[in-house]
Amino acid sequence: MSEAPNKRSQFLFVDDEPEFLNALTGVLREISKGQWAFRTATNHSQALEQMKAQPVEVVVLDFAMPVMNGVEFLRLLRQTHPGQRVVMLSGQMDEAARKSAVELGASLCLDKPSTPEGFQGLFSALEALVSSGPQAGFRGVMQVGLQEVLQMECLARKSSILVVSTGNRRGQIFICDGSIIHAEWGKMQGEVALYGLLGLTGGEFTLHPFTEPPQRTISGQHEFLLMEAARLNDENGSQPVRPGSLGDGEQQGAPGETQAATEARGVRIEEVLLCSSAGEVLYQWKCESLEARLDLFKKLEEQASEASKGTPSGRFHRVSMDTGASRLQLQIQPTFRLLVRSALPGNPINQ
Amino acid sequence: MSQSANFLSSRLPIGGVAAYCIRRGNDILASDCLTKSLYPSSTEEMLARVVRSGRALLPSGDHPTRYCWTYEGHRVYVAARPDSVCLALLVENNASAQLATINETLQAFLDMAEA
Repeated sequence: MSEAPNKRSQFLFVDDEPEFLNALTGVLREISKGQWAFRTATNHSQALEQMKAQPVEVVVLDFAMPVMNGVEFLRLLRQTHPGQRVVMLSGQMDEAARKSAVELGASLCLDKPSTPEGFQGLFSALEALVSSGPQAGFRGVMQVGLQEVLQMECLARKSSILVVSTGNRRGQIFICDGSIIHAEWGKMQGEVALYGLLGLTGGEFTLHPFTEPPQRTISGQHEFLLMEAARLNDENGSQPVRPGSLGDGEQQGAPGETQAATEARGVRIEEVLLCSSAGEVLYQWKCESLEARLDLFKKLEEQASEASKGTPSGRFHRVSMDTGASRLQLQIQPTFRLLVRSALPGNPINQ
Repeated sequence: MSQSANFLSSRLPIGGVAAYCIRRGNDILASDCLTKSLYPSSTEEMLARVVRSGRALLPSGDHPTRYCWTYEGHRVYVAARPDSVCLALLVENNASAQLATINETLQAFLDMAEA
C-alpha cells in the first residue's frame, strides 16, 4: 500500500474503508498531477508502523474508526509523534469531538468528501497546509512538572494561559507579566483551582496567548504560591490525582484544597530567595543574609544527599520545617533553589 | 519500653509508613524497618541523619517542631519535642500513604509528655 517516497509531499491516509482510501488516493493523485505521495492504513496499528518506517508530512485521519476513534488516536499521536500534523476527516463529527481534536492540535477538521467538489476542496486545504511549512518554535516530548513550566513563565515575566488537560478534565492558569492572576479547574476558581491543578501527577499542557480572564482571583508572589502547592502536595499526597482519574473538579478539590487556600491566605511571607543551581541570585525579597541562605542551600543539599545514601529514596526535592511560629521551606531543583520563610497563622508573630 | 515507643506501637501499622525511629539525642528508644524493600541499617542511618540535620540547619535558638524532607520515593516526617525526644517516620510516596493518620500521629506525639 505504498508509493515511492521521493515525491514532494508525503501523506498518510488512515481509514477503515479500503474502498474510500482507493477512491481518495486515486482522485488526489490525479488532482496533484502525481506530485503527492500517498501511503494508506486501514487501522491504527498499520498507521503507527507506517509512521515508524518513514515520517510523513501530514496524517489524514478518519474520525469514525473502530476500537479507537480519531480523537483518541490523535491523543496517542501527540505523545508518540509530537509535532506531527494531523487532519481529521469525518462525516459525523459532533462539535465536542471537533473541539477536542482542535485542542489536541489537529491542524484541520474537514468533512469527508464524496463529490468532485469535495475532493477538490480537500486537495486545496491539504495543499495550503503543506505549503505553509513547519510551525515556528520547537516541539518535543519532555517529562516536566507544571511547577517548572509556571516557574519558567513567571521568571521570564511572560503573559500566557497554561491550559492543562487530564482525562476529560480541563483547567487554565492565567499568567500576566510573570504573575499568576487566575486559575480555573472544573467549577473551582482561584487558589483552590491552582493548587488542584498543581496537584495533578500527569496530563498534558499547552501554552496559549494571554487574554484577560473573566476575573482576577489570585494575587501574591508566584514563588510562594508554587511552594505552597508543593507543600500541599506533600500533605495531600495520600490521594494523588492521576490523569483520567478525576471526577468532578469541584468534588476533587473541595475539602483539603479549600482549607489549604484559606491557610495560604492567612500565611504572611517574610522572606523569599530564588537562585540558580550555581548560586546566582535570581530574585530575593527581605532576605537579610544572602550568604547565609546560599550556605543553607549548600548544607541542605549535602546533608540530604548524605542522608539518603544506601536507600532507594531517589533525588531530594524539598524540606519544610515548622518551628511553631514560622515555617521555612526550601526547594532544591536541578535548575533552581527556592527558599520561602513565612509566619504561620494564629501565632503572635503573625498578629 | 518507653511511653513514646508504646504510643507508636499502639498506632501501627499506618499505611505508607515503611520505617520509624524514636530517638532521644543520640540514643535510639525504638526503631523498626517495616518493609523488606529497605535495608534496616541504612534506613536507620537515614532517619538519624535527617533528625540531626533538622536541628542543625536552623540558626541556634530556632528549634523545628515538625519537619518533612521530601525525596523522589520517600518522605521523612519528624516530630521533635522540647524534651529532645524525636519521632521520625519514613513514608513511601504512593497512594497508600495515610497522611491524615500520619499527621495525627505526629501531632499526638508532640502533645505527649514523656513520663
